[in-house]
Amino acid sequence: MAAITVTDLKKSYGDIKAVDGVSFDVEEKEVFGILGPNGAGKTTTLEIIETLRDDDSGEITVAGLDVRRDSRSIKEVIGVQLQTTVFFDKLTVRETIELFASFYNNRVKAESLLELAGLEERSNAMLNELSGGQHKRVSIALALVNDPKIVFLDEPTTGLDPQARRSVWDIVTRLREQEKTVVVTTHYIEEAEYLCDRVAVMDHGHIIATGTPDELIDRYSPESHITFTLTPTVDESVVRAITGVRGSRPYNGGYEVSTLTPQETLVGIFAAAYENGAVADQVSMKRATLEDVFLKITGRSLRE
Amino acid sequence: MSRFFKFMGASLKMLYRDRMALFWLFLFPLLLMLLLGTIFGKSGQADISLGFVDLDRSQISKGIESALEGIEAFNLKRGTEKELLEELGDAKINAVLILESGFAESVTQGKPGKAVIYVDRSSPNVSEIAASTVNQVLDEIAREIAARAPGGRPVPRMIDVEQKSVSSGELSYVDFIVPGVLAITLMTSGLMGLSLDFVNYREKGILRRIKVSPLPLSRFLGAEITAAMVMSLIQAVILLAVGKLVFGIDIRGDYLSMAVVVLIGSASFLAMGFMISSLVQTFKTAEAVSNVVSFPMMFLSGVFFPLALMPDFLASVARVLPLYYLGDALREVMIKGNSLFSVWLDIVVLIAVGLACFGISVRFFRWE
Repeated sequence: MAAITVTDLKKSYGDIKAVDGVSFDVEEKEVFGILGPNGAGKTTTLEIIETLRDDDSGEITVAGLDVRRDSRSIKEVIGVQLQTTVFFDKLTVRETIELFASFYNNRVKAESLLELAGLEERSNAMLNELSGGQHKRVSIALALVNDPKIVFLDEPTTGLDPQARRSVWDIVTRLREQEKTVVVTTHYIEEAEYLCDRVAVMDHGHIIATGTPDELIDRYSPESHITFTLTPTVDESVVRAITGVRGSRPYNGGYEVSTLTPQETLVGIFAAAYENGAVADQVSMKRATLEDVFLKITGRSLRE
Repeated sequence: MSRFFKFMGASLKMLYRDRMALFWLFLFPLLLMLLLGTIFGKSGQADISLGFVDLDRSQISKGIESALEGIEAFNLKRGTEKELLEELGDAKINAVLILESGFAESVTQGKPGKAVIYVDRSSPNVSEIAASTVNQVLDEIAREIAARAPGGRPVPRMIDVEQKSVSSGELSYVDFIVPGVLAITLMTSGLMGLSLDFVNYREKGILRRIKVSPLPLSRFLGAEITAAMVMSLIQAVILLAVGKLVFGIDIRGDYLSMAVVVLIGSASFLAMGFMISSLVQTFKTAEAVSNVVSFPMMFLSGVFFPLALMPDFLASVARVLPLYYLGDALREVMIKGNSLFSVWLDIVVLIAVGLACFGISVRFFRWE
């Protein structure tokens, strides 16, 4: 049974269609990512599922419960980290966790959450004394106080430095080990690729593709890119004739070629260099990323 | 229930850790009270205004009247017994002297003349001075007159003054200022405390985070409001205790009635604060609006100075401000020891204002 089913979800603010007919399922125990640029409708979608906002139309079930009718029961079994919550300044980390735990019937011991979030040493620090990364970890810990079946993380690493981001990823990895269903929104490609079993790519209120990161890459951007230099330089027509090359362009004094068969093309590059009395150097190969997928589908870069 | 107390405990804990809030909630009202009490508390010794009723209408009584007029400390006011006692009741004069009919006759016969002096027992200092001065003066005058009267002979005690008292409820300034400062404190705590916290919680997204938890809004609000009311009782106890220790104010009210008035007043202003926080968008606006609401009330509601000292139109302004009713109720119940029933109008007004504000807050409440 799917942990979450969303069918034809719509939500408008005035003339703006924030979410325009979104459908997807989240399987139990998977880490499901919603990837898209700012303003794509990720947060709105998430907040409707979390019972925080009302939808205009659509069907949503969470843990088999209807979002509109059973919101109270849903709240007991989900854990939510909102994008921008700042908590009570004058409570300590432990007190904040215990306070939020008191809202639920099912409660986890503060100790285990402090451990999970790597906050043991800061457990008696006031919230306003924490760094951005620590604060984020508190808000994730608070999403787990009721030992939820389904955890929602809305842009959990936005604004964090790489190290702090890494520690958030470690928490999500632990959640996967605990067999929780996790729904995470992000506009970071690497995050989606690193964390998510499946990803829904969202843009302008629509989900434009869903699948595992590999599936998406294979489907939309299967080519690998190889860059290299040839000394002395060799004419581009020679490069274009190399096995498997589908496209080429001059790049940094050398060339960049795209190919569906990277291994054969690599061999072809060295062969062509040899045949033309040149030396191939600075060879590097890059497989496509979800960024390329997004670019391919929307014609825009995700980072804009 | 445990959720409720958990949240309430957390609220109180946060407040305790907020030095700024503690200053405004506790220290500031105390300083205000001490300052006002010290500056104005001792300056009430003006002339004694004495109501004079001459029922005897004799030469002797006329003589006494003019003699009293000649005394600088006295401000003589004539009128009927009824009028003057009423004025005494309103604290417009300090004492009323009544020379009973047959006064002159008694004196000339060498018997003590009958006179009654009414004083205001609410201000014992002034009353005592007034009574003893009047006694002394009367005695002297009567002696003189009796000595000069044909066949008169001096008697040990010429005048039999009966002292009676009424209560105007007029208070010394300190008696006045303590409930006044308490009223202001309850108002500012209501307008500035919890409601601003709420706007803050909303801006920070804490309210939204609570909304995705199963904690019902009513439980959350209830816990916060209860915590605020507990604070208001503590404020009242501290202010009254210091008022009693430092200025020796006389607290005549029973504790239950006092607590009821404090809680109703506190709830009413909390509701007003909530209304403001529901209607405005940002913390800054909420703060500004709360100031705009509370400052005029502070100065126009007759909590620092009696309405009697204000021009009539300002006094009528005071009567539309809720703080006036809280100040009045606190004064009546705490200092004068009147019953809750006697301040029913104040209580009705405060409850009505509270309910209206609460209704509006609920209508416009926003999670974000």
